[in-house]
Amino acid sequence: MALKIKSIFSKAIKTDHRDDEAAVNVDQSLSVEQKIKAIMVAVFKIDMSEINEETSSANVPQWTSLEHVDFVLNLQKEFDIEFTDSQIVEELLSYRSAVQTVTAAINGQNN
Amino acid sequence: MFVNWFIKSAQQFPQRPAVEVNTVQLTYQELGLLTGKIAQAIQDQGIQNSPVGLLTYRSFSSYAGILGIMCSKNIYLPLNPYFPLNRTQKMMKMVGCRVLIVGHECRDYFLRLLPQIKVPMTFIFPDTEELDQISSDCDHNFLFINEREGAAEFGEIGDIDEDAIAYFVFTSGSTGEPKIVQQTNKNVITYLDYVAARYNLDENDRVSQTFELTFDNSIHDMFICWKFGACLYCVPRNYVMMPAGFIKDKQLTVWYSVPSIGLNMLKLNRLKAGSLPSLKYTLFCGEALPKNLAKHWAQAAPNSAIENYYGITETTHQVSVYKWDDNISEAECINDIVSIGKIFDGLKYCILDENKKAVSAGEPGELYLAGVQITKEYFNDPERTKTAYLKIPHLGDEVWFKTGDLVKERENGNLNYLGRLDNQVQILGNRVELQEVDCILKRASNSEMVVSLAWPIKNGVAQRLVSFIAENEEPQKAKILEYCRNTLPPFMVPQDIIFLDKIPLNDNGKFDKQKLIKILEDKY
Repeated sequence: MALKIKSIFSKAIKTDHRDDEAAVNVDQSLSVEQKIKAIMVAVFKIDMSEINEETSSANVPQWTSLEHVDFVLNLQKEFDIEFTDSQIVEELLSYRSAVQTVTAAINGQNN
Repeated sequence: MFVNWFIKSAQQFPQRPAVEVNTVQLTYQELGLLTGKIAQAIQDQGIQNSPVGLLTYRSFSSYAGILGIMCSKNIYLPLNPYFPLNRTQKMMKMVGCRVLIVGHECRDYFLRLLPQIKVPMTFIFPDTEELDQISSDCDHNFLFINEREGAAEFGEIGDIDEDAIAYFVFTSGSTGEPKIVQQTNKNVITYLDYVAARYNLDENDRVSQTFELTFDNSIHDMFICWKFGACLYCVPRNYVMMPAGFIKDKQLTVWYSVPSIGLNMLKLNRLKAGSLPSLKYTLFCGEALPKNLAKHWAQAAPNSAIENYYGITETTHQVSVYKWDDNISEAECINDIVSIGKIFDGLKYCILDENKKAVSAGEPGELYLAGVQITKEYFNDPERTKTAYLKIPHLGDEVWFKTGDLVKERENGNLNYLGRLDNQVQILGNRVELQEVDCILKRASNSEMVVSLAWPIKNGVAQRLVSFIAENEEPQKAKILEYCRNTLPPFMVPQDIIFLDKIPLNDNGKFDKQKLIKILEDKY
């Protein structure tokens, strides 16, 4: 009987050891808008065709807080920028706003 | 009675801030007055030891509502406007709720809920002037207590029935029906008394409030804070996922959350060395605490003790605690997960095998708990009570709670959490029985071949749910997910559904988890 508990124990170790990273590979030839869309497709599991100016956390049910962190993480990695807390929790909550915030950050870096 | 902790502090520190919501503070006196109005409105209904629903969200009405329900000696039932209407209506019905407090922030949700309520009820609005568009066939009573002049002064509450239920907590149940845990006044005060003694706080401290009220740890946030006359900072919904700036701006001295929030901060590089100097205490609970997070948090908050709590709703909050020590704690981790420490003094525990025999020292086994802090039964549910609350013949007449958690005890008495013995997972600290999700998916898809997994598991913490369905078609996905969203709380809704011709089975005829994980790895 102790065997069963031990086998569950070994399973617990196996599953607990997984350590995935949600990095999205984005085609570097794409525009900022297209890159953001590609990240959204990968993170929120939506179709590219569904993304428009109005797409936001309010109308994409899969856009939960956990997915949002993955979204932000991918944006940061892709564009090599670090967002402020208020940008993360107040601005990056829609496609339109993400494009604006990322573009402004890139322009700020270039100036 | 723990509501008296607030009342005593209100007498001692009337002009100190008791709570801050969206940059607005209420003093102890002001929160006490709002509490008095709500308590009086409930008392006027002539009820006692009855469930009173609380439909509010991170507002002053939330805190005054809980205090008011307790002052009126009733049972509070926390509801959540982010849960589907069906679920909320079912929760109220299951416990026979006839009085509901509605915060103005939940006005629209309430107006959608109202047509589903088929029994006459009293609705109390602490901060709404009036409501138009009310349409209902039932003979409801609507009370707008802003209109009330003055408020009852509440002194310390006497004649407390220790065995009376303080509040209901709904948890996931494997049959598709939620379980209702009922925590009595005695259960709760035993817990709070024990943990309050661990902290050296006073009226100058600033304490986080991260947990949803439907998560019973919120009681810890509130009452540990108010016992010392400190100020409770309600973390806005958006900031809960990324609170570093909030902690710094508000100069919080106590932080309490699930580890997932800390992991978000770590991922986004928000735990830089010395970046959270105001913290004196950091508490984690609800999920396994990854070593990596504890180490980084210790560097970011060099003035803070870090404590890892372990407990289950049925055990009334936490039952064990481990204080992180940079020098020795790493060696006490298993699978890179921080120890859950020693079981509280005053509680009994044992670690048993499947035959309910004690395991040999240091061997893994299931944790059982007994003592005054442990609840005694599920509400109106003798069947499920029988399977979780047991007498163990060789351990006398005591009733033990079977946790379903696999643990291992070190020589020094510290425990390590190793995993679940069933299909329960934690998503953001919320308990999810995978069978409950499967049950809803079966109804939605008309397929019996359904299996859900927590995936991926990063740093020992489950990220989200993904489900597999066979004998169905991809075009049904949106409809099935819609059904889930209308039935299950947000944390129980699968992030994605993968449609397969057949669910792979292992040699024992069970779903082959490893093959399913491989499918996910290949897809994402």
